[in-house]
Amino acid sequence: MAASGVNEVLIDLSELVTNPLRTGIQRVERELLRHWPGPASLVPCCFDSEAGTLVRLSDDTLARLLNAGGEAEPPANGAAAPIAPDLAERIIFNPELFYDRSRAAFYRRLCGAGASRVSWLVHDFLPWLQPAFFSRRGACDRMDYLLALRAVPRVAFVSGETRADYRRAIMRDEQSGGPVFPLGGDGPGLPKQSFDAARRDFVVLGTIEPRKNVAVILEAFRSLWAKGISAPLVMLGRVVAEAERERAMLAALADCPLFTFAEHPQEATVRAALCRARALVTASAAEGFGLTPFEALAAGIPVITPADLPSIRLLPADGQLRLPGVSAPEIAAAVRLLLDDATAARLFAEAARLHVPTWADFARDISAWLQEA
Amino acid sequence: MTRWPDILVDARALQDPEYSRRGIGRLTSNLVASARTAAPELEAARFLALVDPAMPPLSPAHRALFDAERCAASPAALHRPAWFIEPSPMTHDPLFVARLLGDSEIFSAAVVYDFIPFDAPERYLTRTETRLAYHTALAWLRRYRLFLPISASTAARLATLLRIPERDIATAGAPLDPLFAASPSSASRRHVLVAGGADPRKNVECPLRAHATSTALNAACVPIVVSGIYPPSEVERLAALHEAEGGEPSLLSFAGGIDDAGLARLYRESLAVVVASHAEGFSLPVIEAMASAAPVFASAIPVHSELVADSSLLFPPGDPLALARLLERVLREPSFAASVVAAQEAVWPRFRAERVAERFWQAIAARAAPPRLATVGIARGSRPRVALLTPLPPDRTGVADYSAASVQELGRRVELHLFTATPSPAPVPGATSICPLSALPFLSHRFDRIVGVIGNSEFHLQIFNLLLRYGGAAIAHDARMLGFYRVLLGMERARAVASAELGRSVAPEEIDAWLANEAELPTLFLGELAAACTPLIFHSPRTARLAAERYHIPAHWLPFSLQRPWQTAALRPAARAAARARLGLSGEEIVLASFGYVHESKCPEECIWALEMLRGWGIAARLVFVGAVQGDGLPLRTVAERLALADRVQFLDAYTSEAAYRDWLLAADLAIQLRRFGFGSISGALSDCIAVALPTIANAELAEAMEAPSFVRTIPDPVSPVLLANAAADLIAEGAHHSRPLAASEEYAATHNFARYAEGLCNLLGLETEWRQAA
Repeated sequence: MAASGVNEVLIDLSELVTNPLRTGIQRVERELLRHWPGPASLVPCCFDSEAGTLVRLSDDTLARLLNAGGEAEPPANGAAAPIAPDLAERIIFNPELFYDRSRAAFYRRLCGAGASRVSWLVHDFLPWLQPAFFSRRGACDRMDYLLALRAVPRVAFVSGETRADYRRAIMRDEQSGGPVFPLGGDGPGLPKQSFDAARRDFVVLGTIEPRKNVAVILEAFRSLWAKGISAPLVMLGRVVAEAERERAMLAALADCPLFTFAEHPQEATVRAALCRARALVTASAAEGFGLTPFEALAAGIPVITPADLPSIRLLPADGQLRLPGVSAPEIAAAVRLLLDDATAARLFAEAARLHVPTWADFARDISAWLQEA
Repeated sequence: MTRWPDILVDARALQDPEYSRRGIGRLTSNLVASARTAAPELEAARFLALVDPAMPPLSPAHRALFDAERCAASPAALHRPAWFIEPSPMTHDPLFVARLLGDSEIFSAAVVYDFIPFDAPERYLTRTETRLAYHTALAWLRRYRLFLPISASTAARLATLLRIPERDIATAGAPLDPLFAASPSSASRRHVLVAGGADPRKNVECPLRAHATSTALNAACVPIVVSGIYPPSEVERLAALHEAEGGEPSLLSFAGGIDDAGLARLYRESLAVVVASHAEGFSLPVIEAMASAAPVFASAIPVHSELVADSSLLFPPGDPLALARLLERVLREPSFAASVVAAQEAVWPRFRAERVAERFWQAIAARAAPPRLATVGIARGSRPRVALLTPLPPDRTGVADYSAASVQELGRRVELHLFTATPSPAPVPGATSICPLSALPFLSHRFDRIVGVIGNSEFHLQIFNLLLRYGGAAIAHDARMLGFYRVLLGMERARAVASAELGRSVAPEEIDAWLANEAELPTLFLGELAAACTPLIFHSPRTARLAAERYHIPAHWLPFSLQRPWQTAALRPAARAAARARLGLSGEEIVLASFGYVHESKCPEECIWALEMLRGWGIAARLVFVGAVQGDGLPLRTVAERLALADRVQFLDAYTSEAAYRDWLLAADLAIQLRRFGFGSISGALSDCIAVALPTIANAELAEAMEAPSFVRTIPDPVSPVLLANAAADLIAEGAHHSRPLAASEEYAATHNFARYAEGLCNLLGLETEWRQAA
């Protein structure tokens, strides 16, 4: 059995199995499954709390996970087969953030027993380092993940910023941690977009939560509309419970003809919105990566974005209106610039020239890193 | 510059369903409604309704008469000059307004109606408690500065009974409802109207006998109508009396509960109106009849003599025949009736509502003294007397310790009397006296200011209730009172307060959910205190700001003082080493200490996780909780065991003695003082850490509330164990755990000491202290 595991990478998809949502992390997992290059086979697993170990998922489950994503879908049916107990020798890859204490204890035990091929991909440390964006309660419930992470021998990151946080605040060791693998920008699968004066919409994608500063974007557009400026805004994303202010603002705009909002959009809706977009707008105060502007730029769509998003800092400034700060006047000014056809056309042309990493790049690099373990 | 008065009017008569629409309620609303017209100098005065929260709320119409409401008679809530108007001094609990009468800067005036119960105790004061209540009210009545009786008769009785000097009495009269002053109708006048009422003193028997025995009235079939509401048995008795005296039963009727318009119509259709009362403070039916152009005959009692100048129109209250003669003459001689009406025409306009209001307000304006310039202490030639209501040691609460520590400096500036519910309180240097807690300070005129100390625990319940009843200054140690309401006052009270503060109905489940997670708390539960207490004082600028925003009050911030003084020598390394030795601490381990009661709201689990990270980074540290632990502390011990830190996390299971507490302050290398929930909470323990220059980590809101010096390292809210551990590691890397920045601590102490605190409190209480210090 040990020989059968030599060419396998066990990927722990426990959160995806038990709670399939359209989160950024689950997006990463699905793209990795889709683009996995081999040569080792990628074996989807999940943590079985009763058995206290990983179990292999069935092919059916895997197929459903790849196609899942709507929140209304029931959780995928999990395990199929146990894995031989020689886990200490296997390549085990966890790309998820999780708060399950028993799962964390499993990894601590495994790493404590000398498993040197356990590898994690870390997305960000925002809940621990920027707690203002998260609930006052539960800080301690999130600590088991870090407790396990500190025992993991091989750790990679989606951005240099996340790795810097790991070194500075989690390990307090400037030499710790592994490589950085930027995410792919080609997820929506759009062809390169080009400027057309008929493209008038400004699009906001992603969960609506205080951290994302959606209220500031809404304020910016309300100020423009109050001045009679026709700048249609399309907002697509789930509203989280903490976003009370944003929810009230959305309700107040229900009858606004220049505003469109959908809380649970299908992939096709998102793609259609991007195909009509003059620009994507993001104003997030903190991100581990910042995938949506990355994806818009990959499709040749200009973005209005904070200058300090990790994903944006990976790219030249082409096709972007980078905001030094995030405020309604700054966003409104950027929108007004983009309403000028010549400016928009120039930004479209710039964006089209950008080389944005793809998911295939990401899967290839991750695969190589895992298999060198 | 003209300073417009604050005019506080006791509005309980308007709250009381018994009175709100008639009698004293009507008089009160008329006086307030007409005030600005009656006395132009009151144009910009602020009219405040003093309402009792235990009574029904004011109707919207009555509320609209006032600029604002006050729910406690707190002198400090009034701008100076201030007037207090009591329109019904004998009706409701006089203690509710007692504090206003003891304040020399508040001009007080009371309407006086009559002394009928005093004069007829066998009828009105038959029960002991009623008698006691009446005489209590009478005693408090003497304390007003100006008296406004409704009649000269009452004025005379007032002067005699209470020995009030004539200069302090101004007869204002009682107002006539404009409804009765409408043009008389041309309808024929056909009945005799008797002003009645269920009280025997109304003496309706006399007019009934007069009517029954009058051959002329019976022959002319003149009906007799009795106004006022009577129980059926009384109607039956009076009807039997009338019939027994020879009256025709069909001619007698009782008006019963007709409205004012119906009553006005009865007046206008009266052949004559009879008011036969044995005693009255005023006699509204007399002027109502006059205004309705009906001839009025009244009993020969003093107040009727004021209104009916022609004594031939008065009859002895026990003489039906004399009355019958007057009634028969009216029937017989229309010219007599006309002459009576003509003579009475000049009387009633004096009692138009606006005329009464003019006499009332102008009398007050003329006599209200200008505001005194001297402070209360200077005026009396002695230090101001302050009553401080507070728990004291040995009650095991930090607030008790803090109050006791503040007394010495406060006692230098004022004559300080402590009132406490603490059994066997320890002696407190600086206090003039320590008395059991009661309403006494609110009712005694000995105290210039009363200050209640409020916290979120059972030690403050009685003080809280007294402040809500009587008003006063309050020092609020806690930033929110949810637990106090829910646990000590009950779910319904908690719901009522939450509903009032949020403007919607709050369900019990919401209260319990907030209690379980105060992060979700949408309000502070300070609304009742905010309404009753002036000034309302907080130790945190953030809480003061929150309270001011939410309750629209001028909440005040009084910086928290360091509580435990230290000599610099006691903080030197040798003293610290000795403390470590006494506590059995090794030299190598870095001691992180968290001081004060160990409660979930102070993030103890976060501290344990931070210790785990520190040790993971190779820092040999231990964590000590210096304070009693909530419950048995089992959840925290379990976490420590799970993280293999059981021997590195120490709980002091017993109540920490003062000596041990001070040793830990000396021995610790770093302190951690946290609050899970914001609202501007403060921490006595953090204050202790600052006093000993102990490098400390605190969350940002707490540090801001305490104006903490720079050696208190802040971490963001909400608390993250990772940031906590990093802050501790940074301090250790900097060597801060080896140092005690005494200069910074001394600088802090220079601005956060009890001398400054006492000075600030005196200023907030309006007690100037500079003259005394100079002296």
